[in-house]
Amino acid sequence: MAASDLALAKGLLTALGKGAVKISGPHVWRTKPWDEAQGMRKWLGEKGYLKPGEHGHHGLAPQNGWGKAVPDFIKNQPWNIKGLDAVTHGRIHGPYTVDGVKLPRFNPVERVWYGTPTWTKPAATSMTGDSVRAPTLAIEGQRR
Amino acid sequence: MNVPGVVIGLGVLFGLCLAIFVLETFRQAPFRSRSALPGPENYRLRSRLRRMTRPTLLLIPAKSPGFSKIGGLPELPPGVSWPEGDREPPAFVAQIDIATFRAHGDFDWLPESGRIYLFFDDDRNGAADCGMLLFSQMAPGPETTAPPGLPLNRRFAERRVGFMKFPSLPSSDWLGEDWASDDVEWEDFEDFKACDFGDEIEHRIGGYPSELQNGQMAVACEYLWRGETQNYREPVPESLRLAARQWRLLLQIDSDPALNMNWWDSGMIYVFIRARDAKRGDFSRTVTITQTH
Repeated sequence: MAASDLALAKGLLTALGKGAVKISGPHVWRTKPWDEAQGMRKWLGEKGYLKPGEHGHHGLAPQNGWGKAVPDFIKNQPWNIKGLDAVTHGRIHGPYTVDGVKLPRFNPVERVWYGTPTWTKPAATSMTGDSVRAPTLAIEGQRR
Repeated sequence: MNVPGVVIGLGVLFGLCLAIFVLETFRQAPFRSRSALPGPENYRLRSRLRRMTRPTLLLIPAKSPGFSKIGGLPELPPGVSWPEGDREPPAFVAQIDIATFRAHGDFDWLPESGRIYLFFDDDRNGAADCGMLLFSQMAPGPETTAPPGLPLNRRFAERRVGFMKFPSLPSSDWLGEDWASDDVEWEDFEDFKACDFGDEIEHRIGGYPSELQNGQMAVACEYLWRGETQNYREPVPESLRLAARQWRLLLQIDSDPALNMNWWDSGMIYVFIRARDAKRGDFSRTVTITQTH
């Protein structure tokens, strides 16, 4: 078994340990404060998918556009959400200014790279070989 | 490919999913009660929420159209021109007649009269001044023509708006403590349930923001205003937290498909101002925060 397969398996097990899927509703992004159960954003934070200050980016299925046709209980799950700092998140969607410095929008490759959930990286590696994995993890390491 | 291995692996995975399903089902409602905890903590949170309640006005389709509107073209006073953006002209977002909504009362932190015009410069997103607010006491003029170069996706359909007043409670993000817990007796807050905090479209004036993402916006405003970057691994200095209390939500503009208004991926624009600046009509000192999915 290749190292990348182990990484994928580890990622899956970690996700399962956290609660990979929110099964009981509601699955809307945010709920009213008085609602009995919490919305997906709070749940993702509680489960550790979103760290303090991180934005939840809809990586594969967007919230708007064609993503409107995807039900909340599918698109708001951890498999589709990537925790990003505000700057990275902003640059996926457009240019972003931070500390007075205007940063350009990510190019399409960067948008896929930074915007897709982490689990897709080892998965891609598994399919394409280990050469993809090294730069992925290196960039993830720089970001953290 | 090792077929038996894959089958066993899938079996294990299925078993784990089943176990999580059972655990999740038992953990969630209706087994989790929201009955209030007795004692001082409950009383403290309730008192805090009552004390912090602010009025908010939802911008709803007007029954009798007036000056206030979202989208369309601005009715700028004579001599005032469409502001310039960094690369392209900023989008016109909304214009509001302050006197009209002051009639709803409880907005004494704003001037008695005047009109505000909100523009948004995509190229400056992330900067405190990406939302450009013009304030004028002069009578409005005719609709201004859109400048050439304004992108098509930043030309919005028009909706004249009226106002509907609601009480607004701070979210747990704003408070910095989790109040969506068992600490509050919700029977005491029945009247607040009319206020829209859900996933519905929410354009609003005043009150508290409906956050799409994590973070305390008042604190973020103060950091942006000071030109500093917040380090989420460090606690917020007390002096900064105190200063952050001055920030008030002036405008919240949501994505609105009916107006062809989409901020990135169903995002929102939040414009904040310090109460003392607003009171004296200084709308040049605002901070705009954006959030999206």
